[in-house]
Amino acid sequence: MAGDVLESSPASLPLAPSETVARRAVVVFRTAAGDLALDAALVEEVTVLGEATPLPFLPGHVPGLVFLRGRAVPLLDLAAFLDLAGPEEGSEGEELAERLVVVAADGMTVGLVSRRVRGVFELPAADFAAPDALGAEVRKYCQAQVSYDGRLVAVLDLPVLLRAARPRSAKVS
Amino acid sequence: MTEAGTRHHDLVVASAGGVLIAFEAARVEQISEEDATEALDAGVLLGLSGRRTAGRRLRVAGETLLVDPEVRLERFPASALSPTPEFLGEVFRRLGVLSVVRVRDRLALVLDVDAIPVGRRI
Repeated sequence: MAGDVLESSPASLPLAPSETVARRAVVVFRTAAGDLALDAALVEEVTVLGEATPLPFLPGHVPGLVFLRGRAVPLLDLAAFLDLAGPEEGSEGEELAERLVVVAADGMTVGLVSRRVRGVFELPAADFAAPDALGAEVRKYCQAQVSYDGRLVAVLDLPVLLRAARPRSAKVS
Repeated sequence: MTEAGTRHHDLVVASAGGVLIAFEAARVEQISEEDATEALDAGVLLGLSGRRTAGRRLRVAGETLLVDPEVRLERFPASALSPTPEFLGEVFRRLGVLSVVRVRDRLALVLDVDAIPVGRRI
C-alpha cells in the first residue's frame, strides 16, 4: 500500500546510520508550489485523493471535503493559499492532486492536496536552519528550511499554517 | 436528532445552490411543488451560493425554502454522520451546519433548522 502512495518505499529510505547523529523525520511532498516538508509526527496518513465535494462558499484554497474513515476532512490547497505559481504541469509526468497528506494540529485535521509524496526521510537535525532563504510569503508559515536531495525544502509550521488558512466567513458568490 | 436511543437519522436531503443540504425529517413540515407564492431561495438564504435553485418548496421551522427538484427522505445509520471539521468550524457554525453526512458519492450538510435566520444574515 505504501508503495502505491509514496514515491520512496520505507525500505529504501536513508535511515540514520549512527545513533550518535540526532535526526528529524519529515515527510516530503510535492505540491503545485513545489516540494514542502512536514514533521512526520503530524502526518496521520497518506492516501489517494478520492472524490471531493466542493462547497462554493469556501475560499479557493479549500477546494472541498472528502470522507475518510467515517469523518469529513477538508482539503487545503497550499499553492492556492500561498499564492505560489508551481512548476509546469506534468514536468515530472505527474497528475495534479493525486495524493492527500492528512495532517493534524491544534485540533484541526485537513488533507493537503499533493501531486506526489516523495517519502519519509530522517535528516540530520543539524541540517535544519532558520528559513531565511525562503520567500516572505512561505517563510511566515515555516519553522525551518532543510536540504534534501540537493534541494532546499521548507518545513511547514503546521499549527501556524492551519490557523492562518482557516476560513473565517462564508464567501457568498 | 432522532428519538433517544435510536441508531439512525431520518433526513430530508435536497440540493440548494449546487450543494446538498439535509434537515431532520421530523422538523420538515411540508414538501410541495414550486408555485407562485413567496419562498426563500435556500442557496441564497443559507449563504451557500448565488445560483438560483428551483423546483420544490420545503417548509421548515416556519420558513418556506425553494430547493432543487430532487428531494429525498433517507435513513442513515448514526455512524454515517460526521461532526463538522474543526478547520471549518467557524464558517459551519455561522451557516448552522450541525454535521456532515455521506450521500452516495457526495457529502451533504446537515443544517440546524433553528439557525436558518442566522444563515439569512450572512
